[in-house]
Amino acid sequence: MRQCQLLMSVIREHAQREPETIACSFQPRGPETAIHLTYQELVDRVESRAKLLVRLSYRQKYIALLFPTGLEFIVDFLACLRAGVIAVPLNVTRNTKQFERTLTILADAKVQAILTTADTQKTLSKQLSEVNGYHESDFIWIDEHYRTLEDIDIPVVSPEQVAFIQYTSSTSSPKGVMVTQANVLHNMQVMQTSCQHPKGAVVGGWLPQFHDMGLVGHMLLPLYLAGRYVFMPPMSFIQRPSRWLKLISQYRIFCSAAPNFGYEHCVNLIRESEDLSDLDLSCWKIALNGSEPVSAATMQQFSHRFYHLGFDHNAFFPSYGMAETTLFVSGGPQGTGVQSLSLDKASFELGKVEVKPDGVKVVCCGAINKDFTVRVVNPQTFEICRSNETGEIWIAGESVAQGYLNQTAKTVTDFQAKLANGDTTPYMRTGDMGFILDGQLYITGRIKELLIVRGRNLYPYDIERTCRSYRYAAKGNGAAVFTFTRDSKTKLAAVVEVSRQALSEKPPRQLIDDLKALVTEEHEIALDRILVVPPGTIPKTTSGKVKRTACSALL
Amino acid sequence: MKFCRQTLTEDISQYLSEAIEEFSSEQHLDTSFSRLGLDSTGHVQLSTIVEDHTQTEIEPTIAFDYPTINSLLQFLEGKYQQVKEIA
Repeated sequence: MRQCQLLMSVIREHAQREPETIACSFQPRGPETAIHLTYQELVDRVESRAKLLVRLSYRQKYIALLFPTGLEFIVDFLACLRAGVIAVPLNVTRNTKQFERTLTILADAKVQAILTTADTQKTLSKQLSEVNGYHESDFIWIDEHYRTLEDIDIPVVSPEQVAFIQYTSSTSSPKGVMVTQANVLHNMQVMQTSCQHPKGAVVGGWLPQFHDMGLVGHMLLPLYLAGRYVFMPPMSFIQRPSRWLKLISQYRIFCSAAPNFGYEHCVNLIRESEDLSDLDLSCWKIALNGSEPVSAATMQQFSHRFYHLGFDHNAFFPSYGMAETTLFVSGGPQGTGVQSLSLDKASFELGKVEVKPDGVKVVCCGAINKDFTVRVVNPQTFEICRSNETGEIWIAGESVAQGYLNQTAKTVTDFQAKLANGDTTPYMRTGDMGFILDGQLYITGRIKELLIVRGRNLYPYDIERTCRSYRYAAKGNGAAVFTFTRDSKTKLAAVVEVSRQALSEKPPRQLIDDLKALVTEEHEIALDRILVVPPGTIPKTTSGKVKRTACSALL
Repeated sequence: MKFCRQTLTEDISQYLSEAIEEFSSEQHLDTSFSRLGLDSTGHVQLSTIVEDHTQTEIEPTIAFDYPTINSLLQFLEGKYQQVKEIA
């Protein structure tokens, strides 16, 4: 593909060359509900919205995008790229607590203007009125009825400019990753070389559009390739996971991604009795699996279940990446399927990599794209680890984002880390532990205390704070949230210190149910196990921090 | 659209007792699904139980809007009666 400065210039060239080719297909429910945009239609709509944004003087300013899954989001997101407006894509939620998180982000990014649809604005205004201290008039709402008929020149956008802000999951301290226009284009090239996408590739699935994997991997990539972005609402997939497979078969999707949870959902919830016999999954050459640990067992169950529909086990494409690197860092090569290494358990626990049959299995996250410099580093000394040691994964390359919005200190520590050996290259610290063998990346754990449960990234301290806010919770730092494994599944548990009075007066069942309800309402995740204990039971460090690992012994 | 309050209650109770420890169909008719410990995927799955029963398309978010067995059934009953009247 020809070198171009910006993604939107590439897309506009496609529109000139093949205006009638379909660029995006959205299927809200059954196949008869599908709606499409050709490259010409897409670019025309984007140009007109970009003019509006320029006219309203949003160039180089932040603007939130709050859309239900649909074509409107694509048009407005690309209009921001085209006009040099900094897009902040966010989730539309029906849950008031989750909505409060959105408000925290809007405040963090100091966003006043919101691009949305008239329908969504109604819902959002109602939610706003339910939150103390907020009014509809606190924001400027720009829906589909806003137009400009003036013929406005859209000024040139520089590749160094921030294109969008990708927010990460923590509710207590939302972090906005600043991704530049150059980062976006670079990561497109990275994905094309690593995945070997053909020109015109059909890419897509059910991933949400406001998340990095859905946004960069599903939506932007096919548009870069002059291909087609095919998508459906995530909720339709959750409701009936077979719809994902039907979408792939019907549109001949070449590359579709999901976290491990998505594959597991298919294995668990597509009933054996469901008739899928007319599906043909042989088109699915890249079944990308990323953003949470890849389970070799899930991959095996999935291919066993759907082999008869033409699914090729070698299409599995475990990969590694994150919002901080725009998206993709490692994966493939295409056709290699799920590879894993077996390591000596005792050495492994000491941070040494020693291949041994029947040891601990570690799934390979694929070949590191040659455009990145990846180092395995001792997180205390910042020395490069020996080739047989595990350490923190540090990454440098043109896809690495500029840092966290309005967080200078964290940007310096996380994005401009320097090795102890005098190398002046700034590295991004991933917080993930792992090792490299023959140019392939293996992830073994995390330094950051992030829990991944059923496809969700959860920060234990967010849920702990919720538990501590319970009216009968004991005072002090008395809650620990952590994961445990049962029946080879990752489950979520909490140990909560409750006042002695409540423990003697209330039935424990009520306390547990209250806490369950509180956590489900705030975080939309159910705790699999809760223990209510008297104050002083939870093991803590001398500085009063909860020792989460020691807590699991209490279960 | 077919609808039978008793059968649907049984279907939903059956689903909830598989998903939740100590679920009791007598005690929990008015307890919210999230209080019972059902997560968001579980809520969405409830809509498919209703779909299978009524043989119609149901919004995936229905269990969030009608968060107890009784409120959900009441809503569906109202909807079902409307359909009958039109027919």
